[in-house]
Amino acid sequence: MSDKTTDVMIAAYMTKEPAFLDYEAVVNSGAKIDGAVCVSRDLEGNTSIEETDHLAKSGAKVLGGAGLVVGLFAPPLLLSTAVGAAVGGALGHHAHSKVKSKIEEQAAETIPWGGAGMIVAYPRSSADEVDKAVTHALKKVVGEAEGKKVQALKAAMADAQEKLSNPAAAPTDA
Amino acid sequence: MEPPADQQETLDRTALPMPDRPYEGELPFDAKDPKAKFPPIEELRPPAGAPNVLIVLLDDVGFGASSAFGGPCETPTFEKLAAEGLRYNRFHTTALCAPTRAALLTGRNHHSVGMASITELATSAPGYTSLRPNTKAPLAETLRLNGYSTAQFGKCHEVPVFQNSPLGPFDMWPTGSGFEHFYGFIGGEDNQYFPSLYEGTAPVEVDKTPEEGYHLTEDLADNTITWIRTQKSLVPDKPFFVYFAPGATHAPHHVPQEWIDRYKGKFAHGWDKQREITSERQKELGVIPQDAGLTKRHEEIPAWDEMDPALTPVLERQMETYAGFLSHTDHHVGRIVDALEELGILDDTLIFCIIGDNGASAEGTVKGTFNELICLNGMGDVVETPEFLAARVDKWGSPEAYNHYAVGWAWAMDTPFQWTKQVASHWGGTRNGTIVHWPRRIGDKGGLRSQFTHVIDIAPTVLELAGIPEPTTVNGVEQSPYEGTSMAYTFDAPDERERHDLQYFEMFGNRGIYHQGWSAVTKHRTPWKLAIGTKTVPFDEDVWELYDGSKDYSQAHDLSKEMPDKLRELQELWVAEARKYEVLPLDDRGVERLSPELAGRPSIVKGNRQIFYPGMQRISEMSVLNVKNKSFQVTAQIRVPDAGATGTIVAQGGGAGGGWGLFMHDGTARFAYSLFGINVFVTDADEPLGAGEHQVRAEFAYEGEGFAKGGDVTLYYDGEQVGQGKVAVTQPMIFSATEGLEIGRELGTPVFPGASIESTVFTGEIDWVELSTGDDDHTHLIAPEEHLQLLMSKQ
Repeated sequence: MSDKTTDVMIAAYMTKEPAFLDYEAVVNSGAKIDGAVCVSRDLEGNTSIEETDHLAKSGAKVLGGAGLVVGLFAPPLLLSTAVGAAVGGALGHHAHSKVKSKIEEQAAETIPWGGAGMIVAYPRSSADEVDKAVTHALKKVVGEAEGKKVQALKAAMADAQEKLSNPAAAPTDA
Repeated sequence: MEPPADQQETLDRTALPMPDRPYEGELPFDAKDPKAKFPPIEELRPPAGAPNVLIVLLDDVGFGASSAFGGPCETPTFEKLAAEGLRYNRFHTTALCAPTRAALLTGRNHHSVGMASITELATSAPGYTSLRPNTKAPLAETLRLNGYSTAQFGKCHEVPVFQNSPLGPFDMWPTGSGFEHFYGFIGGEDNQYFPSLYEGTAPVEVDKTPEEGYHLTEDLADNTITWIRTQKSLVPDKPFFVYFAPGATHAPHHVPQEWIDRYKGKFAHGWDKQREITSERQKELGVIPQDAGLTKRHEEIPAWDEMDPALTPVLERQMETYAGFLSHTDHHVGRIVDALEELGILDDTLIFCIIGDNGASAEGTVKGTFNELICLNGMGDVVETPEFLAARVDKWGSPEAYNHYAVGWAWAMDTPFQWTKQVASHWGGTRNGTIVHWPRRIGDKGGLRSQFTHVIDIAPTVLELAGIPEPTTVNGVEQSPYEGTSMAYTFDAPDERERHDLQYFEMFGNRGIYHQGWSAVTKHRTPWKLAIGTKTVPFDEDVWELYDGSKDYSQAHDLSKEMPDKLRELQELWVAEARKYEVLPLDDRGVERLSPELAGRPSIVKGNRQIFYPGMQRISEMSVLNVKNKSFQVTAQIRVPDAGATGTIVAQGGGAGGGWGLFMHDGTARFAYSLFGINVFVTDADEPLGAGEHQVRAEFAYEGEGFAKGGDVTLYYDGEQVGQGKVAVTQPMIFSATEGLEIGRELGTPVFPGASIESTVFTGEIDWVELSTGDDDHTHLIAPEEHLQLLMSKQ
């Protein structure tokens, strides 16, 4: 497996509990990941990104929350600004707050009230471990791209979103 | 109970109503004239000695559930009634609720009275119309026309879906079927905490919340007790006929926590072991023969040990909840019995306690469901993962749940039989424990009766015991004879040869025949396989089984291979009975029958546009344009007050099941689609709507063909786009069994989960709301002349 290939998995959940279970499983799987974000909305429309601190403590890099899961089964609204802001790398506290704000903004547009989503970015060498860790998603798709880290993340995210919006091109396995 | 002084014993009660006898004497000019003496006005009364009659019919309780028949659910009331009355261990129903109720209340087979299935699946075939022929008058009407006071409390699932709107007609409603009073719900099930109730034919709301202790069964019992007390207070010389049919224990299995707690940890052994325990207990009690075989598990029912261990706490909780629900129901039936005792009329009241209108329900899927509506929409496998269920384990039975237990538990509650509700071929679908209690008449207290009996036998039994003949005409219509056989002969004769010795069974193609101890049966369809596109085998490929009931109480030993001639004889008998009672043509279609067009039944809905006005409430789902799996538009002409508008303009469905609505939220238009109350897809307008008259519109553009797809939502003010959003997935089949469409405020539970019902009251004024389906015409505005045209087209 080539570490030049970057994968981005988008997973959709009907509620927050299974999303956080998968998020914990991914973070604790030992797999090398570039970042993960888990977002949920309650039935009053409030957005929570409760696990980002945990992720930061774990030392993993925070993915900037590009183009979050758009609804449970729906195609995402691909926002170019979101992709631009998304690709995390190592983020300082200030940057982290900005990204978090962006995530909340996008979640408000894309995740149904009561629903949740997760995005994980990782090198191809971690694909098996990540896939095994994500067991509770209603739907998960994986986009891929090759190249330098930032560009690859952007491209992989776009690929995943395309697959999410076009189910025929992305067989679901959850 | 003393009979009335004037008993009118000479009346001919076969023609109902009995014709008034004209006065034939002389009429003096002055009322003070000594000749002005007339016979007193006679009040209609039944023959002397006619008892009060109470029929208790529980919902979805299997033979092996209640402790009165050896089950694990404690039912002290039923045990008490059985100890003072008679237990029947070969009493049968039809395997489904509406058919059993129609048969019970008419004394005829379910196909004979047009109720082959549930009303929602009616077709134009004679036995399937859901319309009771007027040649088969219901028992309540016969009793009422003989001088009984009559009342029904609880479930009525016999109203055709094309007659359940506020405009009726009401002939098939309880008050059109002989009951002078009705308090309950119309439909197959109801929310026990937020029911959709009617008094007579008028919608009523309950005045307590679950937090304040509200539960439907208690409410129904309270109303029953009040009605009986009133009746005995005001007309004590008149007997009553009360039909108490709670929604319990049909799903949702809603019951207060303390009742669930009573069973904590008592089902950890699983359903396979539970069947062994129950079978042994049944033999100890003597309610099944000592040699009754414990039938084997079918491959389609998973063993307890095969279940995902992650589900174990959930599965246990499901059964704890169900057991609590049945015990809770028994408790409230007990309150009614206590009220009869306090009134001093228990000895003079003939009670039929029918513990289940069919076998235990296996409609909750193999792992059970937190929200039954998810399964009914065919989405259980996708949505209700083990984690989803586990996360909600403590909410089972609560107002947040709409829960049902796993197939395995249903099977265990049908011990010792095979199969479950819907499976009319086997006793697990049709054999229900039944108790008859009448101290004044029954001497063999605590006795057991094993003659074959059936729900169609109840009506002729009541008439015989009341001394009322079966009517030959009712309301001028010649009557078809009862098809049941009175059970009264069994009261004093435990060993008398059974008189009802031939009975067909059929439900969704599952069919059977009973004849003089033998039964030949074939299962055609599995109840929990409801998914769209599920195939069944052709009828002539169904595999038949043969059982000798004289030696094999539970249908445990199939003799079809050893005795093919006997099987053939019974199969031919089944066909003959099926022709006689309009069972044919067999119909195993599922989804197709939900469509009025395909099923050939009338529909209130005509065309693709429908208009509603403020104050319209609880318009049933079948009475509203079907907006599922297609594009639709909703337009409202409203007036906004200076302070801005808030509240519900129009909403369909409810919080527990899901639904959609067009709202004003803090002055801004909002369209929301609730997916089973779990997710809500919200589209808000970008700006508030100013004071004055406006048209607010939401368009939902369904994406592509097929079921359950999502779509784009666009909001308009006066034809101008003001908002956009998405609904990712929709419900393909049903929003709610009882909650309907409302204008200007919501009843029951709000579509928006967590909202208060009070907050749904619209603060502006609504002129009208139009719902339309199909593609939009891109004007996004309904002009006044167009609205008028629609109105005229509906005249």
